Amino acid sequence: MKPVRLRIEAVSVQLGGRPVIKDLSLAVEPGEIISLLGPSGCGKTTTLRAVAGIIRPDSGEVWFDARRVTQLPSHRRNVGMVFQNYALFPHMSVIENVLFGLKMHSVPASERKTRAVQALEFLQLAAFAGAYPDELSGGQQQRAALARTLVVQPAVLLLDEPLSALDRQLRDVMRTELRALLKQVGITTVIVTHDQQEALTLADRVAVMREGEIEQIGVPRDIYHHPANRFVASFVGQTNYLSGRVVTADGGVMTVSIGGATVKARGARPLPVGDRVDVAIRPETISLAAEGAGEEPGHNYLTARLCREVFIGDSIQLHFELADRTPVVVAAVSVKDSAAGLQPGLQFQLSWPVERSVAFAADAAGAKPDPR
Amino acid sequence: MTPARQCGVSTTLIAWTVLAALVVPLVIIAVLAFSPEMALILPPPSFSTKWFGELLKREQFQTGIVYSAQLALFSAAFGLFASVGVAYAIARYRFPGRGLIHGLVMSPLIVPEIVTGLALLIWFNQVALRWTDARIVLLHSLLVLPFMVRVLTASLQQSDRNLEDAARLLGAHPVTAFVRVTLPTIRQGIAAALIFAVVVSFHNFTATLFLITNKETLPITIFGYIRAGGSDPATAALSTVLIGVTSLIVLAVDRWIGIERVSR
Repeated sequence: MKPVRLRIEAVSVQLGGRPVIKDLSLAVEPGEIISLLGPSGCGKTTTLRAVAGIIRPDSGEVWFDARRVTQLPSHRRNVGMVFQNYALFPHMSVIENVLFGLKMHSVPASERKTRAVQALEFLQLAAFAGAYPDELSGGQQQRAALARTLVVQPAVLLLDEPLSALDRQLRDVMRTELRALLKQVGITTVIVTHDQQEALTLADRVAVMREGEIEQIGVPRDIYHHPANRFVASFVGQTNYLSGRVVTADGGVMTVSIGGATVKARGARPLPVGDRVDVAIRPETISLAAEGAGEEPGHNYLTARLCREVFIGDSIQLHFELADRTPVVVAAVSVKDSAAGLQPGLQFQLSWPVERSVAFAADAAGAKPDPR
Repeated sequence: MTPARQCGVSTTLIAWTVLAALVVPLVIIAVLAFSPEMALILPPPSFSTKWFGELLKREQFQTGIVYSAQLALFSAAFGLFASVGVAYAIARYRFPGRGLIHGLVMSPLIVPEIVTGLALLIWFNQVALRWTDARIVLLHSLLVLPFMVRVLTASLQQSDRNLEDAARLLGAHPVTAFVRVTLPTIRQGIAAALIFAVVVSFHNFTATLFLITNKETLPITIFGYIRAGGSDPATAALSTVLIGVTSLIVLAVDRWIGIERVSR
């Protein structure tokens, strides 16, 4: 089946008088995987339900290619959806679950069986055709739900928190497998998740949502390295914030005074001199330099005191304090960096590339609470 | 759960008195049923099952049982149709008048049966519904509604709404989705509701009394038999059978679904 272009055009949804989605527009290219990432209550699941036809938008349109589906009930939309709890029919065996959609689509009986078996083989469930959903493991249930959905060849596939019901080890495996599988099918897919790792690894593009609106949309690397605002920076990955004031602004790079020191940072957008800003730095971009070592061009340097070391396993977190007691977390690789000499109380030089730090206007960020 | 507390002597005493008041009359009936005597004497001088055999010979009891059973089955079936609709609306939608509908459906529990019976009698005469069997089935369908709606609402609230949405997204018309996916997932609730309805209909006396004509239901037959001076242990034997059958049904429901889920 030829992949479809999904277009959500200025959709608004109110639930119980409260606006849940506000004038949201989004285009998903044929065969593209997009993830809607955001905290609970940000409207991502409601967006998914509006595309599925489970709820009707109060205004706006939903398009599959040139076909307007906004008013179509869900049974006539040809949308596939895998629910968070998979919603397998408990009174039907796996193959009966898969056959259900084919029957509803009036596929001839002779063809049904073949297609159902093919779908189960594709998802490596052939051995479980006769099993009932409650006899399957979480991973098998997910594959059964995918088989049931994909067998009817939907125009668009919707996945609601696809990995959240799985235990952690399986989740790591399924992240890669699921993406490979979706790419193999080549279906236009929207994934809803609150897990940033899931969003970054599964999707071609990530749309970060807050309070019914898309804050930023882009490829995973851009979202992570070039967050558009403080919300995106905080929601996707860990971030250190250093508060200061703009001293000079030169094109995209500004100089910010922090306590006694100055650092350079990119601006998400140009900010006037004198404005209060927060400079965001990812913990893993900071490295340690011995005091008095030569300074590399294009890097920022700050002196900090090591407070404690937190062992995580594959990495360690080093908690530092600047002279004005601002905390700074540095993530380091266990084996490489956890050498002797990291004594709490010692002074270190923290350094990071200028291009890896972004300055956000402090006031705009203060208006909305940090999601964590 | 709150931790178990030691009860005072007086509390324990009151509790046991109430329980005894509930159980002792039933035990007395059961004991009398096994008496060989004509009269109801306590304690019975010896043990006999002759009155159980006698039951099979009393034609009025047999026709009463058959008629009551027929009414119960039809009322349960009717009640099921109505209550599935009501329960679905209450469980799945929020709409103006939802509370009112819920209250109206539950009203047979509060309105005295005498009032319900009399009201229906007047109403049926007004609309010229003269078919007695239909009258009683309609009455019983009303009486069983609160029990059925309550059980089915609880079942529907516990059943996963996503299942129905999943069925629709797979191309099923909403009605098909309901019949092929939702109904099977609440089949235990349906079974429990039907059993409740049969029991309520089968036992009803007061309201039914207003509507019967030439054919009598079993409770009314028994009452008439005793009023006519039939104070022999045959009625005790019959009552014992009814108690036994009802207890078995309740036990079965409890084992199968859990009585708390049904009656809350």
